[in-house]
Amino acid sequence: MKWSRWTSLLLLLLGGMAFQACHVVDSDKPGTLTLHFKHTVDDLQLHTDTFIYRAPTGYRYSVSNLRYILSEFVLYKNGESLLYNSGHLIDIRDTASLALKLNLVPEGSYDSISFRFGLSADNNHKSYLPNTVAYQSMYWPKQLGDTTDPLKDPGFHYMQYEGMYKTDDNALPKPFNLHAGPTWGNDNSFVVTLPFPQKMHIKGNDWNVDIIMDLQEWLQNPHVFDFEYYGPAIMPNQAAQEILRDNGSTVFRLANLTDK
Amino acid sequence: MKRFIEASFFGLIALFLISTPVLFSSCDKEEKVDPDQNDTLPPYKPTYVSLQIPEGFPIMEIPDDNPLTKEGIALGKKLFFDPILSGDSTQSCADCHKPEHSFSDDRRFSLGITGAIGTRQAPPIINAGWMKKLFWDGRVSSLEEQALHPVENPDEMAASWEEVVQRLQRHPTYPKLFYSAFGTTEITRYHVVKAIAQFERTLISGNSRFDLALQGKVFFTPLEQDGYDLFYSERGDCFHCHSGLLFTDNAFHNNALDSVPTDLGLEKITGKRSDRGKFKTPTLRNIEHTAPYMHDGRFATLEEVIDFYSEGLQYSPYADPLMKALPQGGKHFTPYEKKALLAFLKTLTDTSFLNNPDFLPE
Ligand code: HEC
Ligand code: HEC
Repeated sequence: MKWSRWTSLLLLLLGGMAFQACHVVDSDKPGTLTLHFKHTVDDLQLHTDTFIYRAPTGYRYSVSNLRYILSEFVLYKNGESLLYNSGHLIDIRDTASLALKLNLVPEGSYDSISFRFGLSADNNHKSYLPNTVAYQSMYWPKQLGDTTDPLKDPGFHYMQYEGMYKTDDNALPKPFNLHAGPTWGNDNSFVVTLPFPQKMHIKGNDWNVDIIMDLQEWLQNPHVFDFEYYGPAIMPNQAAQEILRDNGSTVFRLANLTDK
Repeated sequence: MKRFIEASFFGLIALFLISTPVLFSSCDKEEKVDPDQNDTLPPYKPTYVSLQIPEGFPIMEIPDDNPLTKEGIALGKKLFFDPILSGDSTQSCADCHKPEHSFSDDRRFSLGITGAIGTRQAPPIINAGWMKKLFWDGRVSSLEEQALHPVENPDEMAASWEEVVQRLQRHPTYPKLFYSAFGTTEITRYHVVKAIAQFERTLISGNSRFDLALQGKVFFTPLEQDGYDLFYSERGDCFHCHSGLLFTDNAFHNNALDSVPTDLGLEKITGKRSDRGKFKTPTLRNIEHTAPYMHDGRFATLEEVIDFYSEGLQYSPYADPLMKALPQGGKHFTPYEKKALLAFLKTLTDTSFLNNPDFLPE
């Protein structure tokens, strides 16, 4: 008898708290922000499987596949930050993956967004992301992970960006595979912070913004990435990984922030 | 002052997905009453089942309109092994998808009931519940939809669904079995393929030596270990396409079998030149038992397959960039590397799958 009375009291308390919580959320008018992932080469919309692009080394190249993981989306408003602690796989061949909705963005005026390209060492493990066939095909093998700690789960590739290039216009195409990830256990992920083109005023409304990756930037700025020099397989090559990490800082930009 | 809200939306989605199969096992759906139900039929009370998913395997999505039931699975199995589905009642699904070969065909091309010879090798049906695209060129998107095809394929079972459904309807036991699986005695082709798909979803293999080694229950031999390391290194580089615990990325690649592909593969479906010669990455589980290999069964042994990846790549502009040794014609493995790869591939054999009485005809 006594026990059940305590339980009902507890339930009442919990119920009251839940009510309170709802109440708080209610006075605040949360909205949403949908991120639309777009891809360009030299600011022109990406077309796959055609040799229309020219790398800074002069090679013509075509893009076959592009898949990458972004994580730790953070929204900023006057010194406050709001973290969406999860990762998202973007695959240009899977339209559903090209948009990500951040829900329950609290009321306020936001000035910027940041996210991590890839996954931090702390988050790069299998249980951090959904267990689907698509995510499993991003696994990074133990054999190329932290070999001093063979039991450590090496987690995921950050990116699989694949295509073909020709050293001169008549040469036979050769493969390139810009596979970025935690080579030998190094954390090669990086954070990108992008200011919104104008303030995003959230008050119960739904916003959209394009996050544009310019693929040409992986190959230039500050370093020229030479397909011929690094070869088609860079997963074991920490120097190549660091070039991608450096070049990655100018790969992303924002456009079309609207509440329509 | 920083305010952190952890909105783990993916966690929620994952939770939802995980809980769906659980729902099937825990909730008894409302009893459906068949309008034409005659008095001798017991009430429709299917037993919902949830699958035992091996450790680390991805979430299997099961269509809402075809939850797994004990009755549906048993019916699907019976249909799978029953020649009643073919034009002259001589051929069952299992004639080309043989349980002892991990539900694949040991013949290069399957023989239909009319003596017609197909142009593709029958793939194994194993861990098929995770496949989003079926057939070598991925032309159908569910197991249910897939099962509609062989029955009417003139090179295969060469039947008509009307005829097959009538036969099942007239059969002494099938109407009762359909009733206990789907709550209706009025059989349609859609009930047939739903039952077959349910059975196919149970064909799960995740108990090979490889799995046991991963779980620390057995140890690889040094040769197997070297093959394992080769498979997952940039040197061997098999893991990008034969990825994850299913050993397939469920995607389409041209792995450089031909400089001029005769079977266009995915291109036939999409119409895109760049999809020429692309086929769905096959799983490597039970690969020791699914010879011959490739979409046209051109290789009789695993040794030939390894030789192909080592020395046999054919240059074409359609080859996948992941065939990184394309310009060199292959990886040029040493004889020891070849032996090691072979030993590793054989660790993917799951005898508990091959001998599972649930997967064998009664
Ligand atoms: C005459 C031989 C034959 C018969 C009989 C047959 N199949 Fe097949 N099956 C094949 C061949 C060949 C393919 C590959 C065809 C292709 O990809 O174009 C195939 C493909 C499949 C696949 C796709 C597997 C994958 O990995 O994509 C499934 C599932 C399947 N069959 C199930 C069945 C079922 C169920 C039946 C009975 C209703 C059946 N098959 C009857 C020869 C046969
Ligand atoms: C570019 C992706 C890719 C890579 C890398 C790759 N494969 Fe494959 N593999 C495929 C595809 C696609 C097929 C089916 C091709 C076809 O039938 O046309 C296949 C077929 C096979 C088969 C035959 C399976 C069957 O059921 O017929 C075996 C065995 C195999 N691969 C082993 C390997 C090994 C070992 C490696 C590493 C040395 C490797 N693969 C690397 C994509 C790949």
